[in-house]
Amino acid sequence: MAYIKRSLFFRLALLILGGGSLVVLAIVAFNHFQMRRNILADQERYYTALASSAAAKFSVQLMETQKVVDEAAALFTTLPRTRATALSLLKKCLRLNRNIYGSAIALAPLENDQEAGFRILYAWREGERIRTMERSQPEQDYQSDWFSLPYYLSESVWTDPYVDADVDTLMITYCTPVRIGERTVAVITCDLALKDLQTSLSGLELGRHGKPMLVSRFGKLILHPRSEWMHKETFVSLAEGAKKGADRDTLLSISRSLSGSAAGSFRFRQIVSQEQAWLYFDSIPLTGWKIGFIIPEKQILAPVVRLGVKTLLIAVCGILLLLPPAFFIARTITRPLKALSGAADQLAQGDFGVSLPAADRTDEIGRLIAAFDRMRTDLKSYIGELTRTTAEKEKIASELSIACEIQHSILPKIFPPFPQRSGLDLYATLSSAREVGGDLYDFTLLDDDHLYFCIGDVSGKGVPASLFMAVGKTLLKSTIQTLQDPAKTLFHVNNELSQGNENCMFITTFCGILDLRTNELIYANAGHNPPVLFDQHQARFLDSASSPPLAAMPDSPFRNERLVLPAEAKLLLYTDGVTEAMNPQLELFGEERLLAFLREQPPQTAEGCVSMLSKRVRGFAQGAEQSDDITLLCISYRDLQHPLEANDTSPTSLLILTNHTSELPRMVAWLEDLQTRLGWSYELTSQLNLILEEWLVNVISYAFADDHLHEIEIRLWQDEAGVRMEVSDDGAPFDPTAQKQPDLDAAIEDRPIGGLGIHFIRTSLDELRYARTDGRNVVTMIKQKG
Amino acid sequence: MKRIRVSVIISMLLAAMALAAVQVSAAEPVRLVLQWEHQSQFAGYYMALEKGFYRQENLDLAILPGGAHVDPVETVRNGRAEFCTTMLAPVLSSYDRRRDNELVLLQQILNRSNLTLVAWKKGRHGSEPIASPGDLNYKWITLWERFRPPYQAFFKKFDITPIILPQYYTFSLFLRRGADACCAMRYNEYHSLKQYGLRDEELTVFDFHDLGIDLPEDGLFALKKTWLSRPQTCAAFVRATMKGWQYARDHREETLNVVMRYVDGSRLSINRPHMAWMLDVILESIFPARESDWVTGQLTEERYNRAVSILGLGSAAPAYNDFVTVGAQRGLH
Repeated sequence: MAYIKRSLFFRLALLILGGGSLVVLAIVAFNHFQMRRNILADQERYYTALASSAAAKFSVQLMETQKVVDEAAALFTTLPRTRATALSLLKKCLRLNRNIYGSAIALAPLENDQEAGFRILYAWREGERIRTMERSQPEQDYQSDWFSLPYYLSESVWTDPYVDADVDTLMITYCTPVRIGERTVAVITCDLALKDLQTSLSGLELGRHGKPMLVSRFGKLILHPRSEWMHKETFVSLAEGAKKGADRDTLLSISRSLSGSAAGSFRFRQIVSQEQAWLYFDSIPLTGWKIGFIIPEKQILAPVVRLGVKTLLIAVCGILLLLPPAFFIARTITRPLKALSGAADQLAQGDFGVSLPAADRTDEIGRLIAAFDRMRTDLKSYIGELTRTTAEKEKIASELSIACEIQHSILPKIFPPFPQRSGLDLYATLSSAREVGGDLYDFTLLDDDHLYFCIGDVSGKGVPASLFMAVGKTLLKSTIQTLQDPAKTLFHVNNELSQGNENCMFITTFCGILDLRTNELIYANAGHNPPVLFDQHQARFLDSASSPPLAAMPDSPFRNERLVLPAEAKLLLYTDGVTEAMNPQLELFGEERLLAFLREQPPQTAEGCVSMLSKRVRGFAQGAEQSDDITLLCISYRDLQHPLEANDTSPTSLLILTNHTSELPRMVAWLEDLQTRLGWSYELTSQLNLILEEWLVNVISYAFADDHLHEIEIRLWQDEAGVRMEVSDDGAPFDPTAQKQPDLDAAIEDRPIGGLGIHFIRTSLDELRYARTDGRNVVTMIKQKG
Repeated sequence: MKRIRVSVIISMLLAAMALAAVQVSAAEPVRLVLQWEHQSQFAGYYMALEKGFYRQENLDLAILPGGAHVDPVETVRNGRAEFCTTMLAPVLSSYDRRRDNELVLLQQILNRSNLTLVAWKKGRHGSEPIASPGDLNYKWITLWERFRPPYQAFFKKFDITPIILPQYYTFSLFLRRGADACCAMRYNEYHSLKQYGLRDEELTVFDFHDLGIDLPEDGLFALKKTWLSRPQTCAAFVRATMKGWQYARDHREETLNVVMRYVDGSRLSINRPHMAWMLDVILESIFPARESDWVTGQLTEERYNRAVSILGLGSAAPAYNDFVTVGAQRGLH
């Protein structure tokens, strides 16, 4: 079964054969039942006609006999009733009708037999001779039906069949009273032997198993295939003796239909064989008898069955003949398919040289092969093409990534950029949407007291944008170094870029110069998003005149704006990648969210501000693809020449880190920078490095239970006595001075894990103090010189 | 010598005794003549013979079939048979106490009357309904000559004057509507009519038993001379016969098989269902239902006198004790 399901070949062959067989069988069955109906109708016509002709033939015989007897009776009334007349009359009767077996004249019991010379005379046929006799027991004859019925009924009568004892023959008798006035003087009879009727009925063409039947007026069986029933049983008596209820019902219904109608047909189940049979019958009105034929249905339907068997055999032969072509057709369809499926397998393994079945056919299979072949060719060329383009793409991608590296490399990336200006806190990032972005930022110290910074966004993306950005950035920087004025610089650069700007690219730019002595900020805006000014309490956009972006229009006017940066205030520059960041629900991050973020959680440091905002924007996008470059630049300046803190002196240097180990290299860079600036020995530097690293790793690893960004501040003072460091964080309270001394004498495997780091810090320092102030751990570390 | 003589005498004596024993064991030949052709009506006799009950009584019985041309009473009177079975009525009606070869009743076999008169419910022309005995007045009725007395009693009882036609072996005249009514034995002709397809709705049946003309029917008769001279033989014959009837009652199918053998052997065109019906009715008439005023085989004086009076015989009838033997007076008690 599973094989048939899997194999198209078998299914096709089965379908063709099964369909053909079903059609043939349906035709055979239809033919059979139609034939059956027709033949039953034909046979009914034939046998009822046969029965009625047999009945008619017998009726004619009866009538001829009646005529002879009636004439004799009429004659006997006129003739003298003597023995001689009677004998000649009897002989005449027998001679007139050769069917008559015997004939009698009986004087009525009260008539004078002396005068007539006889009482009952009988003549009968014996071979060719006619014999006569005087009946020996007239008293008995008078008691028999043939005499008493006409005598008492005073009319002609056909008796029921009886066996005459004298001649031992089954016969029926027609008897007529000879009436003179109201008196019956004699009875004249003629006998018909039933043997002739039985013989003629049995001689009828009824087929091999068909049998005639003769039933008397009162249902007695005169002739029947079951000879033991003849003259003995009626249908009622048979029903009475029937052992089965069904047989009884059959017999009674036969009896009813025989007595109920003159002619007809009747289907019934035979008593012994239990086979279906038909009874066709007609009646003989003169005697009230029924002639019937019992024909087994099997015999009637035998030709139909024979024909059915023959048709079936022919059908089977036909189906067998259909077998090879069916298999052939199925094969011609499935063989190329099988070959194709093999070829497809090989193709899937990359073998394009596989040979296909011959495609010289024009049918569906041929078209399939041709299509398959085309597909193979196309596939082959497509894969070749694909290989080429992939190689090209890879090349481009690698070039792009190089371009990206170059672009990023021209941006200042060292933070803190000016460690000597310990009050200046500046941090910036650029994350590209594609490999090469169009955003830019820049900053530099124009002299000791002036910080130049700018942010920009080139229209478009990709390599052209990045090139344009490189040009813009370079121009801006070189120009402002010369002009020392933002508005003039923008004006100048705008005109420079506008020339030959055939690609119609432009750059929005915000640039400014911060005077580190006065905290005065001079800035100009070329169509860029206004930066945000914020401190611990508020955040707002910076006012700026609206000017077109650079390279959009030559000779566009730009105006400087001035602002004294409040103490503790920070300035955040950004590109539209921030405000136009989109989440999957197609909502923009927007300026409101930006302001809200800065108001709710004002970051302490520039780096904290940039990294937390980046994180917030990424969180908002919920994984949606970044559509534009995101560039952030945060700036704050605190003049440490005028200490604001309660600390006795402002620190020599300040470093603010976020709570991540990736920040540690910045700490190292910071120390190295201090080493050069302050002329530390190598040993001091590496010692401080180890101490700070040990402590910071400890803080980053254990102090913060959440995954927010936290700032860790490191302040450093130096005087003749030595170096003092103050490290503060807002993590969980932890007092390193309260820690127990580890048991250094115990074996390595017995010591608890940890604890050694703190031990190392304590032994490496000259003094270690701890305080918890304003929710922060403040650890003071003192290392004396020498 | 003396010893030899004694032994001779003893051996001669023994031989004589053996001879006598042979003579005693030789069965006594007797003949029974039936009142009609073989049928279930005589099943008891067939079974007693079949089962060897007569042989056990040391009787060698020959059954002579009756028929239309056989008068059983005459057969016995003429000495052509020792026993006969026939109806009580014709024996009593033809009784002549002056004759020296009159019969005695050995046993009353059938105590219930089975005589009926069957009429077309709507008359022979279909226009004159017959529902009660009175409707038979001036109607055409075919009668058996042999059983005329009970029918006469019936006519007399209901004060009917019908037109009588003879009824012979067949009832063709009635069937062909040549008569309004015909005689029919409940166990025989009545059932034959039904086998000819006649239905109860078409017929009115006057059952004499129900109408109070309850004549005892078949009896077992012998010459008074025989009874007086061979009382043991008569008693043995009755005993074996009644045993046969009892056997027939208890083994109906077997009995039917035997009956059909007799029937077919005489080339009588009688079917088995008909014989089955007849056997049932006959047995009902021999072995009474629980609450009957008679016992099997018995003819009480009261029933005898009632029969005499139904037949209107008066003093012509023999005295009960003269006619009914002790065996029949007692029955099978």
